[in-house]
Amino acid sequence: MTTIEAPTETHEAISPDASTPDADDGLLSLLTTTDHKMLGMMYVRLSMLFGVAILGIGAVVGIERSQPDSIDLFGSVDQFFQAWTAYRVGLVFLVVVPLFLGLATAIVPLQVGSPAIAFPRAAALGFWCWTLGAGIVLAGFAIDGGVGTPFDRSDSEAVALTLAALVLTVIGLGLSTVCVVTTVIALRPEGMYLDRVPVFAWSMVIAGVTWLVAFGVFIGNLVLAYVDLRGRAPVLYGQEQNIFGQIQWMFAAPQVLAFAIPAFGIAGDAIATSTNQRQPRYGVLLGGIGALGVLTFGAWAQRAFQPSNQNLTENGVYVAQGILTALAMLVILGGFASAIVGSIRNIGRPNAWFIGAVAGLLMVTIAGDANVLRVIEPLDLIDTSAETSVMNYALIGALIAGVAGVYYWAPKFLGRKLSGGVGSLAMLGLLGGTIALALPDLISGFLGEGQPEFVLLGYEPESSVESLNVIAMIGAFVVAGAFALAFLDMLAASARSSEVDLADDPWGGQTLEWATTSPPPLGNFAAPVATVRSPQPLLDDEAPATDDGTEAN
Amino acid sequence: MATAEMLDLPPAPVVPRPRTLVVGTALGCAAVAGFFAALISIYVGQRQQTLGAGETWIPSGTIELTPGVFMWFTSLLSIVWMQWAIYAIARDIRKHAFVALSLVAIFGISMINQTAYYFVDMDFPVDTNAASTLLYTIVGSHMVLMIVVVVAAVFVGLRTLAGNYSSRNTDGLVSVALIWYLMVAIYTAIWYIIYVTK
Repeated sequence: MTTIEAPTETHEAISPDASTPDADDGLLSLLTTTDHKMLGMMYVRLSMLFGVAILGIGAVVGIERSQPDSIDLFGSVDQFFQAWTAYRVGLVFLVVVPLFLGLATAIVPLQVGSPAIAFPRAAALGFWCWTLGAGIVLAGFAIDGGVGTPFDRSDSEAVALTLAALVLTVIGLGLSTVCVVTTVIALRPEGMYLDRVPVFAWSMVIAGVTWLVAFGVFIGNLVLAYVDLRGRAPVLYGQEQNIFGQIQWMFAAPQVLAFAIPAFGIAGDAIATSTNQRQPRYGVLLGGIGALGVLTFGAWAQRAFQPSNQNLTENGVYVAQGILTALAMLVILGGFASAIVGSIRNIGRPNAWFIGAVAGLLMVTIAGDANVLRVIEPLDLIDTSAETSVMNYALIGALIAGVAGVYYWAPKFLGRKLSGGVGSLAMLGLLGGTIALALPDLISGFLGEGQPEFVLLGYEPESSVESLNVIAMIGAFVVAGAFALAFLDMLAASARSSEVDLADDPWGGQTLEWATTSPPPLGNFAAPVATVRSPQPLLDDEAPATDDGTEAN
Repeated sequence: MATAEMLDLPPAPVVPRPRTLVVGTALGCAAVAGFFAALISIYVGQRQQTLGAGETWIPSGTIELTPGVFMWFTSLLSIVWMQWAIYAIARDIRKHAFVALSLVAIFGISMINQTAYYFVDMDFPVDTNAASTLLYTIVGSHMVLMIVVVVAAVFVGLRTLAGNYSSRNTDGLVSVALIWYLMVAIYTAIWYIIYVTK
């Protein structure tokens, strides 16, 4: 048997008999809770709510792009630019990253057999910083602020407010990331070496470390712009037409691919559960995800660091980074494919979360491959709509995987299963919508369509590009609609009373979160977690594992 | 009688500590390092570009070298006191650890004071050019963080004196030391890149 010594602050409140606080306990319990499942659930709900709004903004931007010469929804180029940047900023910091962190906050402590998350009060502080910051960021965009405009026509006070709120948002996400990563590194039970950590927990460690360093760099950019902007005429960094250019690296490959790393973790756990087999070559899978953490770090590729007038495609490291990232993703995908093909009979009728996990995995891998086209110099796709394509493939692919994670782990943090039929419909809608949204932009990039400069410069797209933009607009609406469907399904499930007979392990999972009740008690496990002997501890009673994670016989 | 029985008991087993605070602090340090690496890289890149165009970066005589050199030596010396605190708590000498941390805090306050003197003495308004904006952002951020770390050092020192840390639990001191060493490393970069080579 293993004993786990958690810090006093986490341990003293833990009682296996205590129940998880519920929303019925009142507003005060919501505001003051340090229970990681509750915090994770609030993160997931709020990020999905923001997701509906942000994807809606993306769809409206799609309408404008489809007929830039005849449709004038925004009234000015500056306002179009504000919406265009709000979509990017929102998708990363209000939707994708918090959705993953919400899932991780709720699930990772369970996966590693810990009675609580590390630094529970810091985790709560992180959530509330993010909530407050995200609300002000949206307000900043709404009151003519945002992250600058090309013609310097927004309200500079509102821009300063948006920048400050964005710093608060990122600090909140950073705090939550520290809590999740520390939980995996420091609170594992006996026998769970790092090469036996569940894939999702491992992917959060890798992504978390990459995010933290990138967040630091990003806050540096924001603080510099804020200092220059505030209170007087800006010199350079705070000039509105320069602000987004300094932070654009955060929303372009390779950095944008780092936000999708947890998608591989969710796919790993979901595929293993669905195939009911131990994942073959587990070490290679963990190594591949680890390599992605290094290869997708893109803070160094911002223009402020580059010698003047040097194109990034002339930088050998940048090109190699793009190619190696795609290779690592293909290796991981190949491993998953071999697991699925080898156990196809076990899958039967696929669950919604399995469809979503595989769809998200495919979209993110396509993002990595499309980025290879982007970084190859002769194709000249830098600063074209191919950048938007790679971003959408990566971020919405990650979003699909995140929604799949919500469906997969809902019994643990909601105490209820979500609707399989609605979920499957939402996943297929998200998959189809993502392809319709992102593929036309990739083709348009080859046809020479630029980033939003095509509007700024009065560029009239060719008729073929116009047609592609219409398809992309339809894709944006499908994505927004499918995501809203999944969100409503989750809300409807939350409104239902708890399923008293919900099984501890309704899917046949292999990792420790399925060894406790659904939902788990405060303290997570009624008894100390037994010594872990493989990456799939719940299969060990059925078939002992060897050191490399495969079954002994 | 009871005392004698207690003395016969076997020693308590060493409790394995998960070192959560140290791991969390190291992760936070990675983010802080990223923050300053970004700003200093922008400073160096912009300086190269400005000087390459034949323009003035920081006017000569703006930054006196002497206070910066003293600050740098102060920061280097503070590492010795911080290491003394770690050494002392590893041997359960709580009073020494407290004194060492207090000295570290005093050295930190003197560094803050010297930075404030720089701000007054430089006569280089923040909106002069890109150099001034970068200088005040980098040095100002370092000073703000230094204030936070000094408060943390005092807090940990008091907790040490109160018996919250010992050779069995050095996490608080090790964490503060980790941040402190990072602050000294960042100051070294600031001193050389901004104050010396301008």
